[in-house]
Amino acid sequence: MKKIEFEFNLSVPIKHHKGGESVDCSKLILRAPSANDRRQTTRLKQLFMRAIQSTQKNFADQQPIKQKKEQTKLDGVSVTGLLLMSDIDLMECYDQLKIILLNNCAFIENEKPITEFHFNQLADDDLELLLGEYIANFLIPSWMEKMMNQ
Amino acid sequence: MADRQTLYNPILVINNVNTKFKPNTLSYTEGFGEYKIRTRSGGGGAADTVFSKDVETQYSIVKFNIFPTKDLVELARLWKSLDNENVVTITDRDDFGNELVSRTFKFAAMINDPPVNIGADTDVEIIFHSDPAI
Repeated sequence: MKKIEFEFNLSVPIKHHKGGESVDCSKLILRAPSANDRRQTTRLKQLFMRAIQSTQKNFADQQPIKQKKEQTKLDGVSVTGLLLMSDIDLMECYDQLKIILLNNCAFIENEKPITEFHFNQLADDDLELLLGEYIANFLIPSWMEKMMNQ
Repeated sequence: MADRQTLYNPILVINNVNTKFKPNTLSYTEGFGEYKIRTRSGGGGAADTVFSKDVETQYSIVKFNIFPTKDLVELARLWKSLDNENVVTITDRDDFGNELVSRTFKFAAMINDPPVNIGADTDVEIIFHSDPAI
């Protein structure tokens, strides 16, 4: 069954307002996008495919790294690495991700949807990994993983 | 440069929500309270001063005006209903994204019951009192 949400731990907590106090939050709950986000998810998938293409082109003359047999799943770290090594516009990926997350796809610990106030506090490392994890968990269809492992 | 630029374009966040307000109406106090200086006489023309802090006035005040749009009027009702569980943050940055000022006002209560002036050229004054700014 496809995942519909997962938890993401922040290395640098963000502040949110709760019950009269400003408190730290170190965990985000990410939810799968809906048809409402199709413009952004389609664009992100296209960028990811182009990233694969450009990485293959850039490293065509190198010996392929032998993957371990048990590595059949693309995780967030691999996706982030792939995007960083490619020629695609990474800022556009961040912009699309921001629109998705602010559209009720990311929640802070007490089930409140994040706002621009929270998003702007995310550390650079966290944002990078968050992009990879979101794509790996929700946007890469299972057939894509089989293709990668052929 | 930061020392040649006044604060003029702040971001106002109340309870995690960026709140739009009428420009040039936002103000706050730090919450240090009033200080008092009184003189005491030693007789024969000798006098010096004694200093004290009025703890009763050690709270912050945040004031701003909003336009009477549907979303802001509903937000004002929410702030009022939350008693003193609001949190207000004011941040201002320069054109390069460097932070010029950042203040957080915890346990803020909207103390006034403002008239919602309905019209083409009207606004609504909001006043929060809170813990001293941090």
